[in-house]
Amino acid sequence: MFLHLFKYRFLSFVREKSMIFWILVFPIILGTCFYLAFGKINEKSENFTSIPVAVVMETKEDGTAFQDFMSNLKTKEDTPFFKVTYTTRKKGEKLLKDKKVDGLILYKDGTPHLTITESGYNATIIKTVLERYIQSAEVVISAYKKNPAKVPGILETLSEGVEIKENKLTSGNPDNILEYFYALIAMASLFSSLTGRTLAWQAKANKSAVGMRKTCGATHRLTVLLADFCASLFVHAISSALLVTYLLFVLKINLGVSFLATLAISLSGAVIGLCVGLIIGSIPGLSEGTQIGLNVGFTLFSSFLSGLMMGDMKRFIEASCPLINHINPATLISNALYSLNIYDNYDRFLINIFTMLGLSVFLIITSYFMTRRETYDSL
Amino acid sequence: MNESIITVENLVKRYKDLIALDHFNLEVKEGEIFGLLGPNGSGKSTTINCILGLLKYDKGDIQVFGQKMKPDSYDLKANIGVIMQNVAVFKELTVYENVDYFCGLYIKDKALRKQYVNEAIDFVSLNDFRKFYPKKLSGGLLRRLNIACGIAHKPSLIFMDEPTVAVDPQSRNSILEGIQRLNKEGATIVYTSHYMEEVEQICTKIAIMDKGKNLAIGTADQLKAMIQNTETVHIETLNLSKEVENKLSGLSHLYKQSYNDRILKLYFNGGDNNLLSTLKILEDNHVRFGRVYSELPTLNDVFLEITGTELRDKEA
Ligand SMILES: Nc1ncnc2c1ncn2[C@@H]1O[C@H](COP(=O)(O)OP(=O)(O)OP(=O)(O)O)[C@@H](O)[C@H]1O
Ligand SMILES: [Mg+2]
Repeated sequence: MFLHLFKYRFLSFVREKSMIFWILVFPIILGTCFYLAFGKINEKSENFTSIPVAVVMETKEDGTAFQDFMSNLKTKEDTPFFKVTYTTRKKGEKLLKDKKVDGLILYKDGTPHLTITESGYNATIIKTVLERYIQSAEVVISAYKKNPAKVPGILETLSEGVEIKENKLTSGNPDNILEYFYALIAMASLFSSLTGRTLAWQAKANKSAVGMRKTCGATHRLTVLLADFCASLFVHAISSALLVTYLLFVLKINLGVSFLATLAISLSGAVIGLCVGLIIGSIPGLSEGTQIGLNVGFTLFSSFLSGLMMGDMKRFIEASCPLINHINPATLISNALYSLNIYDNYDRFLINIFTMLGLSVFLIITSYFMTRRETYDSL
Repeated sequence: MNESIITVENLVKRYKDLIALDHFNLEVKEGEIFGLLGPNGSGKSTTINCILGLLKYDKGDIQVFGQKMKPDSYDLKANIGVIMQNVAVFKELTVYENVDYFCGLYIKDKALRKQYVNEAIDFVSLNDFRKFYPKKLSGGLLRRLNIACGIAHKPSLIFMDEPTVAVDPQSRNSILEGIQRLNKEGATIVYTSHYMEEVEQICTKIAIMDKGKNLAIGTADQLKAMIQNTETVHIETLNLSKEVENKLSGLSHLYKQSYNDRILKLYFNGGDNNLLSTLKILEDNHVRFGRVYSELPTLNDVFLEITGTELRDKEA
């Protein structure tokens, strides 16, 4: 009985084109857009290319130690850190202005001075490297004077410092761009509210003719509802799996979270979405169009608050109204992914998952009480 | 005698200020095809939805199979089939899948269900359309699918709320025959319609209702016998003078006459040669006339006499 109901509800859900658009096609399109827009940054962090800098030597002392340092600094993959152009101050400033280089270094009186125009990944690297150089300049220079052949070894330790700094926070992927993809996954799972709404609409005799017919049926109402619920969850399991597969294996985005964990979090999000949809579908007096509008609006707004449009959204909300971050479903979903990625212990992740669980239980109970009625004042 | 399957006593149902059912009474016995006949808005659907336990009502008592219908009366529901006024099918499921889904709400056994579903599709002659989605079906075919979904589980009590709306005459006849067949196989049927011809054709008992009240109950013949009308004569004629009209009013057994839109209608409550005597007067006065016919009383006449308005006028 249950399987029979499950099967047909599953079929009816996957055949509903507008629903498939929102839960699968739209997230894939948006994910592709994110990928295209942020693609370069993504590549850089994976595949380092030398940073163009202009260097102006205005020194009476011997600056060869610094020059050697600049050209010998290499990553583990043997890519030079910098692509150095030696030039005059005037030309150097022009290069910087035209964005031909990411930094202008003025070497004067034994010390390098950095000028940058924008902050960014590259600027940070230049800054860090120079700070290290200044800290250890004496060591480097005296070593150089004693035995130039030893210098590469010292440089290696210096550059290692830089690399460690980039990675020492986490064993995951610290790229901020990921926030967008987490919010995207959250959005896709919250679009389950659309299925939830349809489900409520088609269960209620006062909303739809189908609801009337189902209410007249001889199968226990809870069995029917449960079959509906599981069928729509199954649809979401498949569409989440497809979306995550696409992100991980087609776009090759390093989410920092395993496939199965992402899927599990996405499904927990879908449970929340389904319940929200059930509740929206049970609000009396609203037309179907209004309900769908409310539904899409809820999903997009919730994902917006979790950083779908601006990666910094969550931090901004944390500063102004932190409560929202603790109850907004999309934020909970994206934070669960984030904390699995970034933190090496599970404390934050567990807090997140339990909040989601609590929210689901609350929503399931609420939606149950809102959908269970069978006798109405008016049909 | 036959057991009564549905009893409705003093049912009152209000929608805010509107009284949709006003101390409505009804008794349906086993084996009947019970017709609820009334114009739009008379309360037919409201009655059915109250009986099915979908609507709350303000007052009265309803019993189905001798029990009160509650939301969890699944044993009762198992014996009931419903064909709603609005088509109730999933638009993403095919004809076969729809019938199978709804049948599955009643029949657990897979093989039996398959047989029932096939029989239901046969019953409404949708065999060529099994794999069609509802939006590819014409209005009439959709209605037939709606019927199949409601009766596939072979219920012993079937509610049909205007199942033939938008169905062409040919399919309508096959549906009506089908209903009679279901009835012969043992199902009791409650049938609502505002088409009196239909009701007259198949119903073994008829309740005429208007404005939430049950005005009369009986077989078609019993209902017709309740009224004084025995014959209505219709004559198409141009320019009938007042003088001739006055002469006509002297006809014996004539109790009412009207002349509208070139149609003269004369209502008689007895007599054998009413048409001939009428035509004689017209000929004697050199009145030219076209189509002429005489009609035995219909349910419309019953409705007209009881309420003063025509059932037909209110048809959609
Ligand atoms: N949900 C509702 N809210 C308010 N009034 C309603 C509602 N449903 C029906 N009515 C009113 O109750 C009365 C009876 O309606 P009902 O639908 O039972 O009539 P009906 O005999 O089935 O008509 P039809 O032949 O058009 O189907 C009508 O006056 C209608 O306007
Ligand atoms: Mg009706």
